[in-house]
Amino acid sequence: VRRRTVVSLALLLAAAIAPAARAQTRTLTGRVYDDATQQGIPGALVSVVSGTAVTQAGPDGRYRINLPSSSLRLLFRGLGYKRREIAVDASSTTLDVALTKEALQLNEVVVTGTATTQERRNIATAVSTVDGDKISEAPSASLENALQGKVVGATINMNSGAPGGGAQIQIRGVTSILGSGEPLYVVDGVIISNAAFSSGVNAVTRASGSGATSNQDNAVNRLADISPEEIETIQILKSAAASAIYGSQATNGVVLITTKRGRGGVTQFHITQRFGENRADRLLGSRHFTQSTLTDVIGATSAKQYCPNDPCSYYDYQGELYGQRDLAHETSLSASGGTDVTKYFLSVNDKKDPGTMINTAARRQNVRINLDQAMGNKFTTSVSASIYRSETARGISNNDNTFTSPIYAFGYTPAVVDLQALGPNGKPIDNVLLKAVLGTGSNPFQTISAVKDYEDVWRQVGSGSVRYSAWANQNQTLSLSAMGGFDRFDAEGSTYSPNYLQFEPDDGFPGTAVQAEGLVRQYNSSLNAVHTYTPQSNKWLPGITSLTTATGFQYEDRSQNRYSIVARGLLPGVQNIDQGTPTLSQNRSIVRNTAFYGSEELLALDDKFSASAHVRAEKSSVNGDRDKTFYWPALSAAYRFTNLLPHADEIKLRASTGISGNQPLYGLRDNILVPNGLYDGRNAIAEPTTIGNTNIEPEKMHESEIGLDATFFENRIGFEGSYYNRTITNMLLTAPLAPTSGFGSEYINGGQMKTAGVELAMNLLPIRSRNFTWTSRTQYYSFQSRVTNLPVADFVVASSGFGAQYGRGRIASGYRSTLIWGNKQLADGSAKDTVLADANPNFQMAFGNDFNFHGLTINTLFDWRKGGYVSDMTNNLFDEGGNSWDYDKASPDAAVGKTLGAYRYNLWNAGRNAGEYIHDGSYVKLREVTLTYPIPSRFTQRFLPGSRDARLSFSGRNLHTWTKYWSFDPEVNNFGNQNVVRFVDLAPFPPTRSFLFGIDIGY
Amino acid sequence: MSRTLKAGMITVAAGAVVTLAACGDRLTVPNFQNPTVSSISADPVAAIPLLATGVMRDDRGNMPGYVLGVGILGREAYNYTPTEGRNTTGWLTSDVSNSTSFGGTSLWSGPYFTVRDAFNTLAVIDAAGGTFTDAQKNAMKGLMHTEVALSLLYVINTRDKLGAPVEVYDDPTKLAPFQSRDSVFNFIIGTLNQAATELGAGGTSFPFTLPSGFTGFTTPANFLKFNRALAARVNAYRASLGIAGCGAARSAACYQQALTALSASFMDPTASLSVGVFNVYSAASGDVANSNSNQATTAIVAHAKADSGVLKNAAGTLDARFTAKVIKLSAAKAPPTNVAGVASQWDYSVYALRTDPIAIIRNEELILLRAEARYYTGDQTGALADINLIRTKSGALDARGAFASESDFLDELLYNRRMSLLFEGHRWVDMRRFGRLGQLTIDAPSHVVVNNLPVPQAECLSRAKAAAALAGPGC
Repeated sequence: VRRRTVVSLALLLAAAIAPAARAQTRTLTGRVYDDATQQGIPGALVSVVSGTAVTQAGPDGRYRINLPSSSLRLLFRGLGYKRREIAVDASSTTLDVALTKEALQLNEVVVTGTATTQERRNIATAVSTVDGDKISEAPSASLENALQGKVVGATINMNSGAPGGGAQIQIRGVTSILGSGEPLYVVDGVIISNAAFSSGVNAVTRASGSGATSNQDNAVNRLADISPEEIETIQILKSAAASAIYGSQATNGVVLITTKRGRGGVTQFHITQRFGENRADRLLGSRHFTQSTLTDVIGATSAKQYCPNDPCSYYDYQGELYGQRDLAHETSLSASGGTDVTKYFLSVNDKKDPGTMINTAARRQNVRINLDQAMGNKFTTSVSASIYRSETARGISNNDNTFTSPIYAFGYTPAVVDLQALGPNGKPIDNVLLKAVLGTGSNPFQTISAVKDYEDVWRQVGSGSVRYSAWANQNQTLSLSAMGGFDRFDAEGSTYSPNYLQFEPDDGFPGTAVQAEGLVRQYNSSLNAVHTYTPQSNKWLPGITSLTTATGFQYEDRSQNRYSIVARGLLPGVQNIDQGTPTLSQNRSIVRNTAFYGSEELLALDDKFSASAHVRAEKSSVNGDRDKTFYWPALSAAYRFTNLLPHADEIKLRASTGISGNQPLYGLRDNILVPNGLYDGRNAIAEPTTIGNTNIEPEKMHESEIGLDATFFENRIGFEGSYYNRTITNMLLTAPLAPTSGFGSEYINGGQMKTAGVELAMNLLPIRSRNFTWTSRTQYYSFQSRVTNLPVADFVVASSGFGAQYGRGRIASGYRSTLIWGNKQLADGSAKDTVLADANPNFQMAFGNDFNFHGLTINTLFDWRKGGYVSDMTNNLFDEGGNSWDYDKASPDAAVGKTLGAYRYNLWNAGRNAGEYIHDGSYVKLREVTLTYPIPSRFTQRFLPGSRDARLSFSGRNLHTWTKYWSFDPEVNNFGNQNVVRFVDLAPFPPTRSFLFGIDIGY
Repeated sequence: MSRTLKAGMITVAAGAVVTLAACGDRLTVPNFQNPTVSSISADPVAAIPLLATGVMRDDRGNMPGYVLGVGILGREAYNYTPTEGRNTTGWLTSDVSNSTSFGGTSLWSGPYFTVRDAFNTLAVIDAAGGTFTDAQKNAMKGLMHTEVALSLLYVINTRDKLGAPVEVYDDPTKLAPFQSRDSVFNFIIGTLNQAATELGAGGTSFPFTLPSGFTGFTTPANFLKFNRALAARVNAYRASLGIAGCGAARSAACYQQALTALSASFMDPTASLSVGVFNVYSAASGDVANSNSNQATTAIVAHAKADSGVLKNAAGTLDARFTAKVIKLSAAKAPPTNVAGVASQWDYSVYALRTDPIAIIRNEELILLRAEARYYTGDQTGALADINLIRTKSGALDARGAFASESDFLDELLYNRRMSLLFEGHRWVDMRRFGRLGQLTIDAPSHVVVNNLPVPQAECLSRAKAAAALAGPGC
């Protein structure tokens, strides 16, 4: 049977779970290798056609399989290689097999359900897969970073250049305005949390109010805990038809992460050691002053004081503050081995990433154990457990109202005084320039060297599954499986700002200390039954190759508890929150879901036709009616034409349609009053700003997708194209109410949004010879999202910007949801709030090229974003402070402003022309370059005795950016991850370039 | 499919369905954060004190923003928050008239939230049945209606000729029409009078404790004096503006009503001028601090020309009100370099501490209201006596002689109102109602003095799809 039915959730984890072997009478060994390079193919799969024995080759391509002593056919498969079926006679004991590389990975296994998988060649939806090697080859701040430019249709943006990550993955554009905008992340079957908890830095920056946290704190979303080193593959379900198996959490796509598993055989060790450094990229610098220009900014008296002689001194503040060059290092150790019945994988990883800003760093450590055990020939179990620890000290960045965010302060501080100079207390001096002009301020060197902003996350993720082969005969199998998994972590944030800092007395409470805790517990479990029918004769089901029926039950529980304590007014040196005046807050939620599903997969017409149907029935605690069942159906079908065109190996047409959902958030369903704090020591309650809705339901996304996948010239050209059209109805909205009603808004279901897009990918093998191979990967995608019906008044998108003066998003019927709206000045001097630009890029492309020359490999990845406008508030800061590096350049119109900086600022006109600072964010980035050189065995034998192989690598990330964008990086967002639009650049942590030198040794 | 397999499938399916059903209870998750409406309405005795405190807390929360906002518009103060130039440009330049500006979006929704909370509290009072006596209910209703009137007064003070909606409906999606300025004022006085009737029938005590800023006004009878003080202010405004029903501007009819109200209020020329009703603040966790206080912010300063026109007495001593309320900064404070604004060397000490209260209305204003009402009802002598009382008692200035003309009286009245009510939210409103906005200082070429704030964008957008009759003026 070519159709592989996978009957266990364990197969979410790895492709290598074999049913227990039957009577074993001989062992076949050999090597699976690339026919051009002659190098072994790591992880190649070897299986018996119409049998059950399966094994996986080691890192060197060597395999070992137990076979019955009869003649049979073996199937050899390797990721990225064309499959090959070979007849083996009854007496063979060795067999070396060469596989041919192909441009499309047609034989990879794709997850289609909780307990089922299909081969890519038969899949009728667009599913992107990224191989673990591709994720870990270049240094990355977090997993998102490593995925940039590798997933067609996924918009991946880093929120800043701070160490430790913090990034957004948005799959196929905008799906929700109020609901979740995040994909669902599943690690080995466990739904994990990607929550982002601030460490409490808002208490210092006061970016938004005076509470401990805000969404402008540049927090790390917790996908950052997952180590790329432990990942086997990442599979991204994009269409509703593929993701509907996850029901009401699926509209944003599902990211299935599969960790590495033991391969059996002699234990193989792998050690990687990397060293390198991070450097700030694209620092802006600031204006070079003369006494006269300085007078314009800080007044004559101060100008004379701080710049006695022309020209004024110039200090490279940014270069100094973002000039930390500590050693970055990463150590990984893995072991994989076992027997036919017991297989294990162990990995240990420790990564330290110093930030480019002084006093910042990130460190991630993790240990993982994955165990697979066969018990007799009916039961298999798999257990996975991992512990993560992530520590970050990310300093301060983004918006602030205390001048503690360094770029913010630098925007207003003429660089004429040495701010690193030490004062009498041995600490950097106060920011005398800001003080001279504004009577307040902060010296970033003083602030950043003293403020502690630390997050410590301990996380455990574990899962276990049992599969029981209940029944099998010639043409039917039934298997039952049970699976459970959990994710729990506590994120301890602590922030401390000592009382002697310049800005601290401004609120009358010198000294700030924060404890901000985030506790997450979630677990999910399932029971599944899978039945496969493989007719031996086509008497009464003509043309059918196989029929797979799956059904099961799932339960999920997610809880989150966040609380914080801010203490202000501290005694000198005291960091505890029981000093000073405390403010407390807490936010808690529990979400529980139950679901029942059934699916049918059909393979027919000599495997050329495939079709599947799926439905999930779900209830959730977050719905208005907790007893109401919601149904999430999906249908898909594909047909593969062979020999349709000359040189076309295969052309597959596919179509799918499905409905997936997005749950209401916790609490929307409750009709509440709100605590209104204390008044004169007495409690108070009030009407809420937003009215709850006791009938709230999940939003529904109906998506239809058509696609064409083709390979040409013996698989040397591969093409994948998809077009999708999604209609989101029953949208979860914070519908505005007239302020005169005494309410701000109410939660409703309503309206309609449509998103349509195109995804194209072309894989080429232009050159393929014994000594030189060139693999090329090009991808393109674009989408547009439009609100087609809005039953309520237009409204501003929450956390999309800072008002009409700087641009922000608006939800308006008939308009694209990604537009930037803001002030445009009219002839009479008044301003009209109108469409200024689109934050959504026209398209994004990526170009990956891999070269292999005599074993030396060079991998490069370019990422091109065309269009996508950004509110460059950083530029506005520097212009407002009269301090931009290009301030003194020639003005296009002296009547508006004498110099370029004054021209820009005056044209902006206090926000009446918001468009002046809304800039094109197009860029081309050299995301990755990796050079790998295998150390010849004559050296490894001499210098690394006992080693199997070794290689040296040099890799770099974000090596160069080509852009006309004024500020640091058009990719950042002050508000972190956002559902609808992200385009605010306000004093971010500057982007980081990373270089690593590494050595990998296998034993 | 064999029978065994079928049975297996059915078993699993049935098991799953059973488990699904059994999980029904698990799906009941409480709201951890907030009390639900049903839990509150079930216990009015516990709920009403909480709701009533909430209404007064709403008003207290709006107060600092109101005082600062109208203070900036009336050239009393600046908000030079260094990281937000729009606190300057959004209030002082022509941008203030844009519905999206900092000024334009301000001082609108807050008072309506108070009105909504009062509306909700009134509904709970009505639904409380026999839990409370009729007198108790009347007392509570009188308090709520007074709060509603006060909130709407803050609204019309900032929107003036645009008018404002006054109705609140059960259905929050139902839009209330904009009423003309005159209708709003008449609605306010009507509401105050209704509240007075209710308070009059309110028995001897409220069924809850009032905050300490209401000390002296904690019984229905005393609270009525506060209500009448507000009625006096509103009547004086109506009279000076010539609101429909009051005759021409500054004619006697409504001033007479003001005098009547004053006599029923807590006005007392012999008492301390600072007797009155206050919003009190606290530094305690969960409570609210006075955000205009020097302790809470260094960004709020007095106008650059805070000292202009300040009188001295014969001994050459500056008006005591100025010296008591205005201090000189050690270093002048300015907005960021390119933001259009001027440096100021003055700061207020009106609210030094974060716990300092802000007056809602106090005796000193009432005496000045009486001076105004007396003058325009023909009692010039009485007016002069009141003015001199304030000049000498509050300002330590010399008493002055008779008014040479109406404009002489207005100069004197407005000077005293400025100094006596400095940074308490009056200057801009007073200059406007006597047509003197043109006399307010303009600091920079791009600055303007506006008559009123616009209708904020959120209000405009929420009415954009509604019938023309419901559209917001200027939207």
